[in-house]
Amino acid sequence: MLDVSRISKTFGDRRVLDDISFRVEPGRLTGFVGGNGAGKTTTMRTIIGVTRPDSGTVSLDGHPIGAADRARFGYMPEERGLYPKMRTREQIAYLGELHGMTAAEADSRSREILTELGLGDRFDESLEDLSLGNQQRAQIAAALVHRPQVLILDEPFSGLDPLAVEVVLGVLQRIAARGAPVLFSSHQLDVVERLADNLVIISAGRIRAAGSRALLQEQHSTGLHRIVTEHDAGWIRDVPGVEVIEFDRGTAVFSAPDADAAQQVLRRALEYGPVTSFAPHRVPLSAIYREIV
Amino acid sequence: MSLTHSSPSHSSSSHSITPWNAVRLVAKREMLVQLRSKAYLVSFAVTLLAIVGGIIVMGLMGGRGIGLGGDTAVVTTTASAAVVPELGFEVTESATPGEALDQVRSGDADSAVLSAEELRTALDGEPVFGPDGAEIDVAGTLIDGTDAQTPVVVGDRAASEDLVAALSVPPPAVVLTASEMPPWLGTVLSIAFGFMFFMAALMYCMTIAQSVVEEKATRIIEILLATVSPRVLMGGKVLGNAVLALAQIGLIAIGASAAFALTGQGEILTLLGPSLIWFGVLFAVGFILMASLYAGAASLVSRQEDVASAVSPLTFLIMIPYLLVVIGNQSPLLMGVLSYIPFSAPVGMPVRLLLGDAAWWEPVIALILLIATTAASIVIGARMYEQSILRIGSRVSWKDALRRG
Repeated sequence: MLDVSRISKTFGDRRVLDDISFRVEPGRLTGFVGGNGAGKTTTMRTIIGVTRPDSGTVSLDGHPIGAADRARFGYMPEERGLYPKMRTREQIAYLGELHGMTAAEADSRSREILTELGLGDRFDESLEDLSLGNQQRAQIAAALVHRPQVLILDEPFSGLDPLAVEVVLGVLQRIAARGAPVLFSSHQLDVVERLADNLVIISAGRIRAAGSRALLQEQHSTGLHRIVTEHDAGWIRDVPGVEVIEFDRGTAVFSAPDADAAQQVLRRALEYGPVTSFAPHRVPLSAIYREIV
Repeated sequence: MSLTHSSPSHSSSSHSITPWNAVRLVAKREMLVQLRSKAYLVSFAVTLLAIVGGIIVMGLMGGRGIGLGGDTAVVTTTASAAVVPELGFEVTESATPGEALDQVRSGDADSAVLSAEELRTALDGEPVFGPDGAEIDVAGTLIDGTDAQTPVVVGDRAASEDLVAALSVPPPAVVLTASEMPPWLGTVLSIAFGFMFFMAALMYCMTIAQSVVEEKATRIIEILLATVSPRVLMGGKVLGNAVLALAQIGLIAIGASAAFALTGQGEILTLLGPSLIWFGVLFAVGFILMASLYAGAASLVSRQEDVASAVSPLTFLIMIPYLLVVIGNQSPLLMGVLSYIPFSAPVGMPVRLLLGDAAWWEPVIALILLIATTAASIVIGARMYEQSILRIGSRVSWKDALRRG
């Protein structure tokens, strides 16, 4: 369990992080969502120890994080970079050694992780000779080479082609399944909605929501239903107590105060004609995000 | 949310690296990058060859033409042979003076050496000319004016100057102050030490600066700093390049010594010994002084094209004392001052030692001053580096970088 507790950080006279707290649970992928300048990168840099907070603590399994813990973190910064002229496998091994692996360990592990990420035939190419997508994979290898027990990844999926997203996702899920806390940021809400088990939403340096993604969506979806009919469903607006949220001819998303009211809408719809679909509606993350940010 | 403590089940193969091991690892990478660079290897090879080659060529020229066009062929008669030195000349004896002149005319010999009397006999009335082209009356001017036995150098179109010089008697010369060293040696050595110091120091300091900015520009710095401290990173860079710089100086010294020995100038080495050792010691410390400042200054900027302007104040700071050493090496007072200033001490002090102008304790004092300055520069450089290394984007001011953070 990675515990971020009451972190504040000011750059000049700009308060970038304002008393933020959240947890990254082991075994779950936690998505970190926020707009540009919301404080995602500063938060991640603080966790990794690159930025020192003005106040607050980051603890792992109940104790404040020290240098020995950070050596077991895997970090992928938002701004990507490795040594452009150094051979791919060598620099992954170098980073492994810097994280405390022996030379032999780092050597075999760098081969293993690059192969796993589909760069098995690119060991001796210098980084700048790789395609952008492959550079991105090498970047992920750099974060994973030392078998990290905590992963902090800033925008790991940006710049990846759909196939690479699946490869990386598979790797992350395997690491999470072994019990590692995994925090990744993204501004692609659809990606987060699909991948994240937990969510942390940050805006203007404050945490707006944190917890299980499914639970959050449920909370924001209470009383919401979606109905698809073969006639114009405009009449739903006139049902007392029911609020139409989205409407497009025969399709409507509405909020009912209780289950009875929803069933009443369904019965009336059937009187008008055939109903092809009726179900509880789950709001997309983007809608929740717009609402709370 | 699960509140139970849960630690990852798999065993970790990594643990925190010790700072010293991390410094070594960083240093090793810096060195490998250089040693794999073709440009680096070629430029080093060219430098080494130029220095070794220069010494050999100078040695050969100084030794009066072993090789280089061959010895001057001289023909002489048995009577005059005694006056011609053997070193550097290929002497043959002819039966008669007339035959000697024939050999010069035909080009078989470069010059002939005959006594004035022999020349007169051999010419048998034919004219000879002086260097200005005017005809010389052998019987009147040469014999009556001097001595019939005076040796005369005869060439076909020009008399060999080497031969003239070899047969001339130089006037005695004395000096008022005793010195083992020729006065020009100070200038030559100031330039030589200065060249080695600045070539190696500036080149490797620039390498450090570029390496600092590369890590900043590519943002790999964030990954590195997630596992090692800025000081470790900077220390590794300085150490790696210091080792390379010293190795380069060492190889040049070995190459130069071999070249001196090969060309029979071994005695120069004995004279140079103490100076060279002090140069090595002062260089090693002086390099770290400059390297720390270069690393700090480079960390202010985020792009390679800004490196040169970021370090230019340092380049001036270093160049000025050096130029003063080259210009002012004939002034004992100026040299005395410069040999203590940390930036010029590695060049100034060995030169003074060699010239016998410095007492044994003087380099020790200079070294202590240098070490103190270096310690201060490490503190300054490390602070600048720590303060600026993550500030990517616009240039960080010296003031901001030096502020206690």
